Amino acid sequence: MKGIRWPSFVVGVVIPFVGVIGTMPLINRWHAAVWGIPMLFFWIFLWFPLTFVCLAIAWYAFDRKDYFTPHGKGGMGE
Amino acid sequence: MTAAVFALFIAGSLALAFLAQRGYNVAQLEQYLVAGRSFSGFLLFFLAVGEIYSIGTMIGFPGGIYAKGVSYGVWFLGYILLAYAVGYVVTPLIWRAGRRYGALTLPDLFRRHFSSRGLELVVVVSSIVFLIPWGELQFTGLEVALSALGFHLSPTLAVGIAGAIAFLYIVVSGVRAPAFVSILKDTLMVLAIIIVGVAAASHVGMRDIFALAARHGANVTMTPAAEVFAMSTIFFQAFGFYLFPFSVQYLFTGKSEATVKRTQIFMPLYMLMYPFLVIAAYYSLAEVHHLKVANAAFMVAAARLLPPWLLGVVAAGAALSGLLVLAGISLSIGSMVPRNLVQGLPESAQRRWTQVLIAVYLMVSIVLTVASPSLMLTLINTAYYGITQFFPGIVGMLFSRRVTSTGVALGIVIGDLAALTLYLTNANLLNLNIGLICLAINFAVSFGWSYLLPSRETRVPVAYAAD
Repeated sequence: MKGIRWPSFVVGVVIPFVGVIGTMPLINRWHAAVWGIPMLFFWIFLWFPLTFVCLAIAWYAFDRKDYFTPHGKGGMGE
Repeated sequence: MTAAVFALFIAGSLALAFLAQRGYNVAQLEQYLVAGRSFSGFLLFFLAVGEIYSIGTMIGFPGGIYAKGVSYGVWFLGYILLAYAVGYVVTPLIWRAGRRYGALTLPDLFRRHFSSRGLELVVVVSSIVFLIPWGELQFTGLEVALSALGFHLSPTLAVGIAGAIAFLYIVVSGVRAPAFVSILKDTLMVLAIIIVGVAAASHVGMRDIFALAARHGANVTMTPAAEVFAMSTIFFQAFGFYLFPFSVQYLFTGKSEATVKRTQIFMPLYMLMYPFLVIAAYYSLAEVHHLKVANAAFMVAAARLLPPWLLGVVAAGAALSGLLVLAGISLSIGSMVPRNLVQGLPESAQRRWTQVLIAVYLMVSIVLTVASPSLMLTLINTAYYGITQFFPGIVGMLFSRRVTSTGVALGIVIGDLAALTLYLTNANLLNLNIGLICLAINFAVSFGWSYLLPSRETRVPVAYAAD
Protein backbone atom coordinates (compact mmCIF):
# COMPACT_ATOMS: atom_id res chain seq x y z
CA MET A 1 0.00 0.00 0.00
CA LYS A 2 1.26 3.42 -0.89
CA GLY A 3 1.98 6.39 1.32
CA ILE A 4 3.26 9.42 -0.54
CA ARG A 5 4.81 9.33 -4.00
CA TRP A 6 7.61 11.87 -4.00
CA PRO A 7 7.35 13.11 -7.62
CA SER A 8 3.65 13.70 -7.02
CA PHE A 9 4.45 15.53 -3.78
CA VAL A 10 6.89 17.85 -5.52
CA VAL A 11 4.50 18.71 -8.36
CA GLY A 12 1.30 18.87 -6.31
CA VAL A 13 2.53 20.45 -3.06
CA VAL A 14 6.06 21.89 -3.22
CA ILE A 15 5.58 23.84 -6.47
CA PRO A 16 2.34 25.60 -5.39
CA PHE A 17 3.87 26.42 -1.97
CA VAL A 18 6.94 27.96 -3.57
CA GLY A 19 4.80 29.74 -6.15
CA VAL A 20 2.50 31.32 -3.56
CA ILE A 21 4.59 31.77 -0.38
CA GLY A 22 8.18 31.54 -1.64
CA THR A 23 7.82 34.24 -4.28
CA MET A 24 5.79 36.61 -2.11
CA PRO A 25 8.65 38.93 -1.03
CA LEU A 26 9.61 39.37 -4.69
CA ILE A 27 6.07 40.03 -5.88
CA ASN A 28 5.55 42.50 -3.04
CA ARG A 29 8.51 44.57 -4.29
CA TRP A 30 7.24 44.55 -7.86
CA HIS A 31 5.14 47.70 -8.05
CA ALA A 32 3.03 46.83 -11.04
CA ALA A 33 -0.60 46.26 -11.94
CA VAL A 34 -2.36 44.17 -14.59
CA TRP A 35 -5.62 45.70 -15.87
CA GLY A 36 -5.49 47.85 -12.77
CA ILE A 37 -5.26 44.83 -10.45
CA PRO A 38 -2.35 45.16 -7.98
CA MET A 39 0.40 42.62 -8.70
CA LEU A 40 0.02 40.74 -5.38
CA PHE A 41 -3.60 39.96 -6.17
CA PHE A 42 -2.96 39.22 -9.81
CA TRP A 43 -0.18 36.78 -8.94
CA ILE A 44 -2.32 34.81 -6.52
CA PHE A 45 -5.24 34.76 -9.00
CA LEU A 46 -2.81 33.28 -11.51
CA TRP A 47 -2.06 30.44 -9.08
CA PHE A 48 -5.71 29.32 -8.96
CA PRO A 49 -5.53 27.69 -12.42
CA LEU A 50 -1.83 26.86 -11.99
CA THR A 51 -2.51 24.88 -8.79
CA PHE A 52 -5.29 23.03 -10.59
CA VAL A 53 -2.81 22.14 -13.34
CA CYS A 54 -0.21 20.97 -10.79
CA LEU A 55 -2.72 18.71 -9.03
CA ALA A 56 -4.03 17.35 -12.34
CA ILE A 57 -0.48 16.47 -13.40
CA ALA A 58 0.19 14.83 -10.02
CA TRP A 59 -2.96 12.72 -10.45
CA TYR A 60 -2.67 11.69 -14.09
CA ALA A 61 1.12 11.26 -14.20
CA PHE A 62 1.79 9.64 -10.83
CA ASP A 63 -1.10 8.76 -8.53
CA ARG A 64 -3.89 7.52 -10.78
CA LYS A 65 -2.25 4.16 -11.43
CA ASP A 66 -2.35 3.35 -7.71
CA TYR A 67 -6.11 3.65 -7.72
CA PHE A 68 -7.08 2.26 -11.11
CA THR A 69 -5.19 -0.63 -12.68
CA PRO A 70 -5.22 -0.94 -16.49
CA HIS A 71 -7.46 -4.01 -16.44
CA GLY A 72 -9.89 -2.56 -13.94
CA LYS A 73 -9.06 -4.93 -11.11
CA GLY A 74 -7.42 -4.27 -7.78
CA GLY A 75 -6.71 -0.66 -6.91
CA MET A 76 -8.86 1.40 -4.64
CA GLY A 77 -11.15 3.15 -7.12
CA GLU A 78 -14.91 3.00 -7.20
CA MET B 1 -38.99 44.04 -1.31
CA THR B 2 -35.48 43.18 -0.15
CA ALA B 3 -36.84 41.40 2.92
CA ALA B 4 -39.56 39.54 0.94
CA VAL B 5 -37.05 38.10 -1.55
CA PHE B 6 -34.77 37.22 1.34
CA ALA B 7 -37.54 35.39 3.23
CA LEU B 8 -38.59 33.53 0.08
CA PHE B 9 -35.11 32.07 -0.44
CA ILE B 10 -34.66 31.11 3.21
CA ALA B 11 -38.05 29.35 3.22
CA GLY B 12 -37.16 27.61 -0.05
CA SER B 13 -33.94 26.29 1.40
CA LEU B 14 -35.78 24.91 4.42
CA ALA B 15 -38.17 23.06 2.10
CA LEU B 16 -35.17 21.66 0.24
CA ALA B 17 -33.62 20.51 3.50
CA PHE B 18 -36.86 18.72 4.33
CA LEU B 19 -37.04 17.01 0.92
CA ALA B 20 -33.40 15.90 1.18
CA GLN B 21 -34.16 13.35 3.88
CA ARG B 22 -37.00 11.54 2.10
CA GLY B 23 -36.22 7.98 1.12
CA TYR B 24 -33.35 7.63 3.56
CA ASN B 25 -33.45 6.27 7.05
CA VAL B 26 -31.79 9.19 8.79
CA ALA B 27 -32.60 7.68 12.17
CA GLN B 28 -29.72 5.28 11.57
CA LEU B 29 -26.56 6.89 12.92
CA GLU B 30 -24.15 6.11 10.07
CA GLN B 31 -26.74 7.30 7.54
CA TYR B 32 -27.44 10.45 9.53
CA LEU B 33 -23.82 11.44 10.05
CA VAL B 34 -21.85 10.28 7.03
CA ALA B 35 -24.67 9.32 4.62
CA GLY B 36 -23.52 5.68 4.61
CA ARG B 37 -20.20 6.78 3.01
CA SER B 38 -22.03 6.95 -0.32
CA PHE B 39 -21.51 10.42 -1.78
CA SER B 40 -20.19 10.80 -5.31
CA GLY B 41 -17.52 13.32 -6.24
CA PHE B 42 -20.22 15.76 -7.34
CA LEU B 43 -22.10 15.83 -4.03
CA LEU B 44 -18.86 15.71 -2.07
CA PHE B 45 -17.62 18.76 -3.99
CA PHE B 46 -20.71 20.77 -3.13
CA LEU B 47 -20.73 19.59 0.47
CA ALA B 48 -17.09 20.62 0.82
CA VAL B 49 -17.38 24.00 -0.90
CA GLY B 50 -20.62 24.64 0.98
CA GLU B 51 -18.67 24.37 4.18
CA ILE B 52 -15.48 26.08 2.99
CA TYR B 53 -17.00 29.15 1.41
CA SER B 54 -18.89 30.22 4.46
CA ILE B 55 -20.09 33.70 5.21
CA GLY B 56 -16.42 34.42 5.98
CA THR B 57 -15.83 34.54 2.22
CA MET B 58 -18.66 36.74 1.06
CA ILE B 59 -18.83 39.17 4.00
CA GLY B 60 -15.61 38.59 5.97
CA PHE B 61 -13.07 38.68 3.13
CA PRO B 62 -14.03 42.10 1.66
CA GLY B 63 -14.34 43.41 5.23
CA GLY B 64 -10.81 42.23 6.01
CA ILE B 65 -9.42 43.99 2.94
CA TYR B 66 -11.38 47.11 3.86
CA ALA B 67 -9.97 47.15 7.39
CA LYS B 68 -6.41 45.86 6.90
CA GLY B 69 -5.60 46.16 3.21
CA VAL B 70 -3.91 43.86 0.77
CA SER B 71 -2.12 41.60 3.26
CA TYR B 72 -5.40 40.25 4.67
CA GLY B 73 -6.70 39.59 1.18
CA VAL B 74 -3.52 37.76 0.28
CA TRP B 75 -3.32 35.48 3.31
CA PHE B 76 -6.99 34.60 3.01
CA LEU B 77 -6.65 33.52 -0.63
CA GLY B 78 -3.24 31.91 -0.15
CA TYR B 79 -4.10 29.60 2.72
CA ILE B 80 -7.26 28.26 1.09
CA LEU B 81 -5.47 27.64 -2.20
CA LEU B 82 -2.54 25.82 -0.60
CA ALA B 83 -4.89 23.86 1.64
CA TYR B 84 -6.08 22.08 -1.52
CA ALA B 85 -2.49 21.05 -2.29
CA VAL B 86 -2.13 19.74 1.28
CA GLY B 87 -5.58 18.18 1.04
CA TYR B 88 -4.69 16.33 -2.15
CA VAL B 89 -2.11 14.38 -0.12
CA VAL B 90 -3.76 14.22 3.30
CA THR B 91 -7.53 13.89 2.77
CA PRO B 92 -7.48 10.50 1.00
CA LEU B 93 -5.38 9.15 3.88
CA ILE B 94 -7.78 10.56 6.46
CA TRP B 95 -10.63 8.89 4.54
CA ARG B 96 -8.66 5.63 4.60
CA ALA B 97 -8.10 5.97 8.36
CA GLY B 98 -11.83 6.62 8.77
CA ARG B 99 -12.75 3.42 6.97
CA ARG B 100 -10.08 1.39 8.73
CA TYR B 101 -11.36 2.42 12.16
CA GLY B 102 -15.05 2.71 11.29
CA ALA B 103 -14.78 6.32 12.45
CA LEU B 104 -17.64 8.81 12.22
CA THR B 105 -15.92 11.74 13.97
CA LEU B 106 -12.44 13.25 14.35
CA PRO B 107 -11.98 12.11 17.99
CA ASP B 108 -12.99 8.56 16.88
CA LEU B 109 -9.84 8.48 14.74
CA PHE B 110 -7.59 9.47 17.64
CA ARG B 111 -9.20 7.08 20.12
CA ARG B 112 -9.03 4.07 17.85
CA HIS B 113 -5.60 4.60 16.31
CA PHE B 114 -3.88 5.47 19.58
CA SER B 115 -6.19 3.32 21.77
CA SER B 116 -6.52 6.15 24.23
CA ARG B 117 -9.61 7.50 25.93
CA GLY B 118 -7.60 10.41 27.39
CA LEU B 119 -6.44 11.59 23.98
CA GLU B 120 -10.01 11.30 22.70
CA LEU B 121 -11.17 13.63 25.48
CA VAL B 122 -8.41 16.16 24.72
CA VAL B 123 -9.42 16.19 21.06
CA VAL B 124 -13.15 16.51 21.66
CA VAL B 125 -12.83 19.28 24.24
CA SER B 126 -10.37 21.39 22.24
CA SER B 127 -12.49 20.82 19.10
CA ILE B 128 -15.55 22.32 20.73
CA VAL B 129 -13.63 25.22 22.32
CA PHE B 130 -12.00 26.29 19.06
CA LEU B 131 -15.25 25.95 17.13
CA ILE B 132 -16.57 28.89 19.17
CA PRO B 133 -14.72 31.57 17.12
CA TRP B 134 -15.98 29.80 13.99
CA GLY B 135 -19.53 30.17 15.30
CA GLU B 136 -18.89 33.84 16.12
CA LEU B 137 -17.67 34.25 12.55
CA GLN B 138 -21.00 33.00 11.18
CA PHE B 139 -23.13 35.03 13.59
CA THR B 140 -21.16 38.21 12.92
CA GLY B 141 -21.73 37.74 9.18
CA LEU B 142 -25.41 36.93 9.64
CA GLU B 143 -25.81 40.10 11.67
CA VAL B 144 -24.36 42.08 8.75
CA ALA B 145 -26.61 40.30 6.21
CA LEU B 146 -29.78 40.77 8.26
CA SER B 147 -28.95 44.44 8.94
CA ALA B 148 -28.96 45.06 5.18
CA LEU B 149 -32.67 44.17 5.01
CA GLY B 150 -33.61 47.55 6.43
CA PHE B 151 -35.43 46.58 9.63
CA HIS B 152 -32.98 48.16 12.08
CA LEU B 153 -32.84 44.96 14.09
CA SER B 154 -30.84 45.07 17.29
CA PRO B 155 -27.71 42.93 17.02
CA THR B 156 -29.01 40.60 19.71
CA LEU B 157 -32.29 40.03 17.89
CA ALA B 158 -30.53 39.54 14.54
CA VAL B 159 -28.21 36.84 15.83
CA GLY B 160 -31.06 35.28 17.83
CA ILE B 161 -33.15 34.84 14.67
CA ALA B 162 -30.13 33.41 12.88
CA GLY B 163 -29.61 30.86 15.66
CA ALA B 164 -33.23 29.75 15.49
CA ILE B 165 -33.16 29.16 11.71
CA ALA B 166 -29.88 27.25 11.94
CA PHE B 167 -31.38 25.01 14.60
CA LEU B 168 -34.34 24.22 12.33
CA TYR B 169 -32.02 22.93 9.60
CA ILE B 170 -30.34 20.37 11.81
CA VAL B 171 -33.55 19.13 13.32
CA VAL B 172 -34.93 18.53 9.84
CA SER B 173 -32.43 16.20 8.20
CA GLY B 174 -28.85 15.59 9.25
CA VAL B 175 -25.98 15.66 6.81
CA ARG B 176 -28.08 15.30 3.67
CA ALA B 177 -29.60 18.72 4.24
CA PRO B 178 -26.31 20.64 4.06
CA ALA B 179 -25.29 18.74 0.90
CA PHE B 180 -28.46 19.62 -1.01
CA VAL B 181 -29.01 23.07 0.43
CA SER B 182 -25.41 23.94 -0.37
CA ILE B 183 -26.16 23.57 -4.09
CA LEU B 184 -28.80 26.32 -3.75
CA LYS B 185 -26.54 28.36 -1.50
CA ASP B 186 -23.53 28.12 -3.81
CA THR B 187 -25.57 29.12 -6.84
CA LEU B 188 -26.89 32.16 -4.98
CA MET B 189 -23.53 33.04 -3.49
CA VAL B 190 -21.56 32.85 -6.74
CA LEU B 191 -24.27 34.81 -8.59
CA ALA B 192 -24.31 37.47 -5.88
CA ILE B 193 -20.53 37.82 -5.88
CA ILE B 194 -20.31 38.09 -9.67
CA ILE B 195 -23.20 40.56 -9.86
CA VAL B 196 -21.72 42.89 -7.24
CA GLY B 197 -18.22 42.63 -8.72
CA VAL B 198 -19.40 43.35 -12.25
CA ALA B 199 -21.65 46.18 -11.09
CA ALA B 200 -18.74 47.77 -9.21
CA ALA B 201 -16.37 47.42 -12.15
CA SER B 202 -18.82 48.88 -14.64
CA HIS B 203 -19.88 51.66 -12.28
CA VAL B 204 -16.40 53.02 -11.60
CA GLY B 205 -14.23 51.28 -14.20
CA MET B 206 -11.83 48.48 -13.41
CA ARG B 207 -8.58 50.48 -13.48
CA ASP B 208 -10.10 53.41 -11.64
CA ILE B 209 -11.34 51.35 -8.70
CA PHE B 210 -7.84 50.44 -7.53
CA ALA B 211 -6.36 53.84 -8.38
CA LEU B 212 -9.18 55.65 -6.58
CA ALA B 213 -8.91 53.37 -3.55
CA ALA B 214 -5.15 53.98 -3.43
CA ARG B 215 -5.74 57.72 -3.54
CA HIS B 216 -8.01 57.34 -0.51
CA GLY B 217 -5.24 55.60 1.40
CA ALA B 218 -5.82 51.91 0.57
CA ASN B 219 -2.56 50.00 0.25
CA VAL B 220 -1.68 47.78 -2.70
CA THR B 221 1.61 46.40 -1.32
CA MET B 222 2.46 45.01 2.12
CA THR B 223 4.74 46.42 4.82
CA PRO B 224 7.57 44.06 5.84
CA ALA B 225 5.68 43.21 9.05
CA ALA B 226 2.43 42.48 7.17
CA GLU B 227 4.37 40.36 4.69
CA VAL B 228 5.76 38.11 7.43
CA PHE B 229 2.31 37.77 8.96
CA ALA B 230 0.73 36.91 5.60
CA MET B 231 3.36 34.31 4.70
CA SER B 232 3.34 32.60 8.10
CA THR B 233 -0.46 32.63 8.25
CA ILE B 234 -0.81 31.03 4.81
CA PHE B 235 1.66 28.30 5.72
CA PHE B 236 0.15 27.63 9.14
CA GLN B 237 -3.54 27.66 8.22
CA ALA B 238 -3.11 25.54 5.07
CA PHE B 239 -2.32 22.59 7.38
CA GLY B 240 -5.33 23.12 9.62
CA PHE B 241 -7.90 23.58 6.88
CA TYR B 242 -9.13 19.97 6.72
CA LEU B 243 -8.90 19.31 10.46
CA PHE B 244 -12.08 21.06 11.50
CA PRO B 245 -14.26 18.32 13.00
CA PHE B 246 -17.05 18.98 10.49
CA SER B 247 -14.63 18.88 7.53
CA VAL B 248 -13.36 15.48 8.63
CA GLN B 249 -16.92 14.21 8.92
CA TYR B 250 -17.73 15.50 5.44
CA LEU B 251 -14.68 13.72 4.05
CA PHE B 252 -16.05 10.47 5.43
CA THR B 253 -19.18 10.83 3.24
CA GLY B 254 -17.04 10.18 0.12
CA LYS B 255 -17.65 6.79 -1.45
CA SER B 256 -14.01 5.95 -2.16
CA GLU B 257 -10.50 7.17 -1.55
CA ALA B 258 -10.14 7.98 -5.26
CA THR B 259 -13.30 10.12 -5.16
CA VAL B 260 -11.88 12.13 -2.27
CA LYS B 261 -8.50 12.61 -3.97
CA ARG B 262 -9.91 13.61 -7.35
CA THR B 263 -12.33 16.06 -5.75
CA GLN B 264 -9.35 18.05 -4.42
CA ILE B 265 -7.97 18.60 -7.93
CA PHE B 266 -10.93 20.74 -8.96
CA MET B 267 -11.20 22.80 -5.79
CA PRO B 268 -8.80 25.61 -6.87
CA LEU B 269 -10.99 26.42 -9.87
CA TYR B 270 -13.85 27.32 -7.58
CA MET B 271 -11.70 30.17 -6.30
CA LEU B 272 -12.05 32.01 -9.61
CA MET B 273 -14.94 33.92 -8.00
CA TYR B 274 -12.54 35.77 -5.69
CA PRO B 275 -11.42 38.45 -8.17
CA PHE B 276 -15.01 39.72 -8.12
CA LEU B 277 -14.90 40.00 -4.33
CA VAL B 278 -11.59 41.85 -4.46
CA ILE B 279 -13.16 44.33 -6.88
CA ALA B 280 -16.15 44.77 -4.55
CA ALA B 281 -13.83 45.37 -1.58
CA TYR B 282 -11.82 48.02 -3.42
CA TYR B 283 -15.05 49.61 -4.65
CA SER B 284 -15.99 50.16 -1.00
CA LEU B 285 -12.53 51.52 -0.27
CA ALA B 286 -12.83 53.91 -3.21
CA GLU B 287 -16.43 55.04 -2.76
CA VAL B 288 -17.47 54.53 0.87
CA HIS B 289 -15.08 56.07 3.36
CA HIS B 290 -14.96 55.74 7.12
CA LEU B 291 -17.30 52.76 7.36
CA LYS B 292 -17.99 52.21 11.05
CA VAL B 293 -18.19 48.42 10.78
CA ALA B 294 -15.55 47.18 8.32
CA ASN B 295 -17.34 43.81 8.12
CA ALA B 296 -20.21 45.55 6.31
CA ALA B 297 -18.03 46.57 3.32
CA PHE B 298 -19.54 44.03 0.92
CA MET B 299 -23.19 44.58 1.85
CA VAL B 300 -22.71 48.36 1.71
CA ALA B 301 -21.29 48.03 -1.80
CA ALA B 302 -24.22 45.77 -2.78
CA ALA B 303 -26.77 48.20 -1.34
CA ARG B 304 -25.28 51.10 -3.33
CA LEU B 305 -25.05 49.20 -6.60
CA LEU B 306 -28.11 46.94 -6.78
CA PRO B 307 -31.92 47.30 -6.92
CA PRO B 308 -33.73 46.26 -3.70
CA TRP B 309 -34.91 42.81 -4.91
CA LEU B 310 -31.39 41.89 -6.01
CA LEU B 311 -30.04 43.04 -2.65
CA GLY B 312 -32.48 40.52 -1.14
CA VAL B 313 -30.92 37.73 -3.26
CA VAL B 314 -27.43 38.78 -2.18
CA ALA B 315 -28.41 38.89 1.50
CA ALA B 316 -30.05 35.46 1.19
CA GLY B 317 -26.90 34.00 -0.38
CA ALA B 318 -24.79 35.39 2.43
CA ALA B 319 -27.17 34.30 5.18
CA LEU B 320 -27.56 30.78 3.77
CA SER B 321 -23.80 30.30 3.75
CA GLY B 322 -23.63 31.25 7.42
CA LEU B 323 -26.65 29.12 8.36
CA LEU B 324 -25.29 26.05 6.59
CA VAL B 325 -22.02 26.23 8.45
CA LEU B 326 -23.79 26.67 11.80
CA ALA B 327 -25.91 23.62 10.97
CA GLY B 328 -22.77 21.68 10.08
CA ILE B 329 -21.02 22.66 13.32
CA SER B 330 -24.02 21.78 15.45
CA LEU B 331 -24.34 18.44 13.74
CA SER B 332 -20.67 17.80 14.35
CA ILE B 333 -20.91 18.67 18.05
CA GLY B 334 -24.11 16.63 18.18
CA SER B 335 -22.21 13.56 17.03
CA MET B 336 -19.04 14.11 19.07
CA VAL B 337 -20.80 14.60 22.41
CA PRO B 338 -22.55 11.21 22.65
CA ARG B 339 -19.79 9.23 20.88
CA ASN B 340 -16.69 10.82 22.36
CA LEU B 341 -17.57 12.83 25.45
CA VAL B 342 -20.32 11.14 27.46
CA GLN B 343 -20.36 7.60 26.06
CA GLY B 344 -21.36 4.96 28.56
CA LEU B 345 -24.21 6.98 30.01
CA PRO B 346 -27.79 5.82 29.45
CA GLU B 347 -29.15 6.93 26.09
CA SER B 348 -31.60 9.46 27.50
CA ALA B 349 -28.80 11.16 29.44
CA GLN B 350 -26.61 11.20 26.32
CA ARG B 351 -29.36 12.87 24.34
CA ARG B 352 -29.86 15.47 27.06
CA TRP B 353 -26.12 16.23 27.23
CA THR B 354 -25.98 16.61 23.47
CA GLN B 355 -28.89 19.03 23.29
CA VAL B 356 -27.58 21.04 26.23
CA LEU B 357 -24.06 21.30 24.81
CA ILE B 358 -25.24 22.37 21.34
CA ALA B 359 -27.44 25.01 22.98
CA VAL B 360 -24.55 26.16 25.20
CA TYR B 361 -22.23 26.30 22.18
CA LEU B 362 -24.66 28.43 20.18
CA MET B 363 -25.39 30.69 23.17
CA VAL B 364 -21.69 31.28 23.93
CA SER B 365 -21.05 32.11 20.26
CA ILE B 366 -24.03 34.49 20.21
CA VAL B 367 -23.05 36.22 23.45
CA LEU B 368 -19.44 36.69 22.34
CA THR B 369 -20.63 38.02 18.97
CA VAL B 370 -22.71 40.67 20.65
CA ALA B 371 -20.31 41.39 23.54
CA SER B 372 -17.00 41.66 21.68
CA PRO B 373 -17.50 42.48 17.99
CA SER B 374 -14.45 41.42 15.98
CA LEU B 375 -13.14 41.69 12.47
CA MET B 376 -14.34 38.47 10.83
CA LEU B 377 -10.93 37.50 9.44
CA THR B 378 -9.44 37.82 12.94
CA LEU B 379 -12.00 35.26 14.14
CA ILE B 380 -10.73 32.91 11.41
CA ASN B 381 -7.17 33.29 12.77
CA THR B 382 -8.38 32.54 16.29
CA ALA B 383 -10.14 29.30 15.31
CA TYR B 384 -7.04 28.05 13.47
CA TYR B 385 -4.77 28.66 16.49
CA GLY B 386 -6.43 25.64 18.08
CA ILE B 387 -7.70 23.53 15.17
CA THR B 388 -4.29 23.25 13.47
CA GLN B 389 -2.85 21.75 16.69
CA PHE B 390 -4.39 18.41 15.60
CA PHE B 391 -1.95 18.25 12.69
CA PRO B 392 1.04 16.64 14.48
CA GLY B 393 -1.25 13.89 15.77
CA ILE B 394 -2.61 13.29 12.25
CA VAL B 395 0.94 13.11 10.88
CA GLY B 396 1.76 10.57 13.59
CA MET B 397 -1.36 8.55 12.80
CA LEU B 398 -0.68 8.47 9.06
CA PHE B 399 3.10 8.06 8.90
CA SER B 400 4.75 7.16 12.22
CA ARG B 401 5.19 3.90 14.14
CA ARG B 402 6.67 5.63 17.14
CA VAL B 403 4.36 8.50 18.08
CA THR B 404 2.48 7.72 21.28
CA SER B 405 -0.91 8.79 22.62
CA THR B 406 0.66 10.66 25.55
CA GLY B 407 2.98 12.56 23.22
CA VAL B 408 0.11 13.65 20.98
CA ALA B 409 -2.16 14.60 23.89
CA LEU B 410 0.60 16.64 25.57
CA GLY B 411 1.43 18.33 22.27
CA ILE B 412 -2.18 19.41 21.73
CA VAL B 413 -2.66 20.64 25.31
CA ILE B 414 0.61 22.59 25.37
CA GLY B 415 0.04 23.95 21.84
CA ASP B 416 -3.48 25.11 22.75
CA LEU B 417 -2.41 26.69 26.05
CA ALA B 418 0.53 28.45 24.40
CA ALA B 419 -1.77 29.79 21.67
CA LEU B 420 -4.34 31.05 24.18
CA THR B 421 -1.61 32.72 26.26
CA LEU B 422 -0.01 34.46 23.29
CA TYR B 423 -3.45 35.46 21.96
CA LEU B 424 -4.75 36.88 25.24
CA THR B 425 -1.53 38.79 25.96
CA ASN B 426 -1.44 40.20 22.42
CA ALA B 427 2.11 38.95 22.04
CA ASN B 428 4.02 39.76 18.88
CA LEU B 429 6.87 37.40 18.03
CA LEU B 430 8.70 38.67 14.92
CA ASN B 431 5.29 39.38 13.34
CA LEU B 432 4.79 35.65 12.84
CA ASN B 433 1.35 34.09 13.14
CA ILE B 434 1.38 32.93 16.78
CA GLY B 435 -0.34 29.67 15.82
CA LEU B 436 2.69 28.68 13.75
CA ILE B 437 4.98 29.08 16.76
CA CYS B 438 2.63 26.96 18.86
CA LEU B 439 2.49 24.32 16.11
CA ALA B 440 6.29 24.08 16.20
CA ILE B 441 6.18 23.64 19.99
CA ASN B 442 3.44 21.03 19.57
CA PHE B 443 5.51 19.02 17.04
CA ALA B 444 8.55 19.16 19.32
CA VAL B 445 6.53 17.98 22.33
CA SER B 446 4.60 15.22 20.49
CA PHE B 447 7.57 13.70 18.72
CA GLY B 448 10.13 14.49 21.45
CA TRP B 449 8.06 12.82 24.17
CA SER B 450 7.31 9.81 21.96
CA TYR B 451 10.96 9.20 21.11
CA LEU B 452 12.27 9.78 24.65
CA LEU B 453 9.60 7.61 26.27
CA PRO B 454 8.65 5.07 23.60
CA SER B 455 5.68 2.81 24.20
CA ARG B 456 6.15 -0.95 24.04
CA GLU B 457 3.49 -1.56 21.43
CA THR B 458 4.06 -0.25 17.93
CA ARG B 459 1.17 0.98 15.83
CA VAL B 460 0.92 0.49 12.10
CA PRO B 461 0.66 3.93 10.46
CA VAL B 462 -2.39 4.29 8.24
CA ALA B 463 -0.44 5.17 5.09
CA TYR B 464 1.60 1.96 5.23
CA ALA B 465 -1.00 -0.47 6.58
CA ALA B 466 -1.49 -3.62 4.55
CA ASP B 467 -5.29 -3.81 4.68
